[in-house]
Amino acid sequence: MRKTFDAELLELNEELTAMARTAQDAIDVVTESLSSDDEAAAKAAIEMTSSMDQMERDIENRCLQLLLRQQPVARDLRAISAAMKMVTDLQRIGDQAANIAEISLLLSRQGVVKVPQDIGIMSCKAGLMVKQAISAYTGRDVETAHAVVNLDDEVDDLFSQVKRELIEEVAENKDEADSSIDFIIIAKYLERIADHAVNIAQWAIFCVTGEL
Amino acid sequence: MDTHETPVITAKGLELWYGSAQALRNVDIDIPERKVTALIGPSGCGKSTFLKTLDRMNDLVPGVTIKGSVRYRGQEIYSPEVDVTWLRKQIGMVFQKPNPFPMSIYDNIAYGPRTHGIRNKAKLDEIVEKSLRGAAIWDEVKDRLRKSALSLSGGQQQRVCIARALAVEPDVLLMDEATSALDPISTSKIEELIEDLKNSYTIVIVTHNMQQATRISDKCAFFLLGELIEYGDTDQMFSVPRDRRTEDYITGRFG
Repeated sequence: MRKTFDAELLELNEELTAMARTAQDAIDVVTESLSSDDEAAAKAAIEMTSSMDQMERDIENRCLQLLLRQQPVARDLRAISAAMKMVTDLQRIGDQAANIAEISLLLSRQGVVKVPQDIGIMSCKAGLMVKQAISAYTGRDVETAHAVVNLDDEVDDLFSQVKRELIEEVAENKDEADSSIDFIIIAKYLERIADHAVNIAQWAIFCVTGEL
Repeated sequence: MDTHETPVITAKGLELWYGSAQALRNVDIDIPERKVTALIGPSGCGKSTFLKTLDRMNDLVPGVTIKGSVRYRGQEIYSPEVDVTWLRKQIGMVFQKPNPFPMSIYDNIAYGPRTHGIRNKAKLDEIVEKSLRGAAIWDEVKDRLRKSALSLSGGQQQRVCIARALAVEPDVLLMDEATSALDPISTSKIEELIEDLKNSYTIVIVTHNMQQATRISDKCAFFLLGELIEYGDTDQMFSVPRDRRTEDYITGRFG
């Protein structure tokens, strides 16, 4: 029974995982571009995230088809409605990674290389959160989802710290205020990426418990 | 159950055997007033049997044994002093296949009231019109009340049967897969009718159509092998069922 439906739900999981992997790779590449002053890497990140728009549409389309044809209830309904919500978060993550890449391009053209170390750490953590949030969803793993929610505090703390450091730097060295502000914007994008990962984790929890 | 929901029917420890085969096992349920309660479950799970116990239709089955309690508005319905005709006036039944009597539309509706002693023509006319309006079929048949009810379409016949049930002013309406033999348009007419009727009646339906249960019922009861597995608000049952067996059934992982 329901072989086709189960197979399609698995495919939906695979598509979401692929999209999350793309997001995570883009975040990695964009961080790399920041620290290595690598224009090619920044361009590659923008290229990667551009495919995420199509992925979003494909996943939404699959979800609509499943709602229409299978009229899902209970855990199937929760899985499909959660997928429809979290795909938007994934797409936003892609947008934010692309925004960071664009700033990175500007920075490297200006010859700025000294990226605050905490931004690198934020980026690693945000990428990890995205990956874990999706695996919490596909594995129906509430514990991992809660871990993602908890990681968000660390990213928030790092953001506050980066902000403080950069404000000090602006005060000390007005000539580099431009790049400091760019770094704050980047840190803010990373902090938003972590928030989207939290949303995804919360949909993963909803998927198991039905609690919004 | 919410405190504001008054139970109209309460079953406690209800058990039923057809000969040696047990069809209902220790069923406890409160059916709330002026709500639609849907009974779901695979074929042979006991849902229709349960529905029939509510107006004592199972009394007619040879070899049937019933234990436990079914109360209708506090009255034990299997108690010897209960008049079954009275009970079936209070609790009407609509069946899966439309079964109008082979007589005119008018006489189909007037049949019940006449049995209960109403002879006055004006009074009967009034009941016929009110019942047909109540079943959302008056406009379609008002000009041919003397025509045979068998000349109507299946969907119209079913609404005439509902009107016939309404004519004796019941309190509770039982429907055993009342739309499963109908096309989608007739089905949606009857579903809308059920939505309207629940303002005045307590309704219990048996359905194999999960979407129908989600569309029109307030409460839902899932039966399996004669047992009431889960009973609760329909929205909750179809989004976060409590029991794994309910989940497996409604998502089609069963069987």
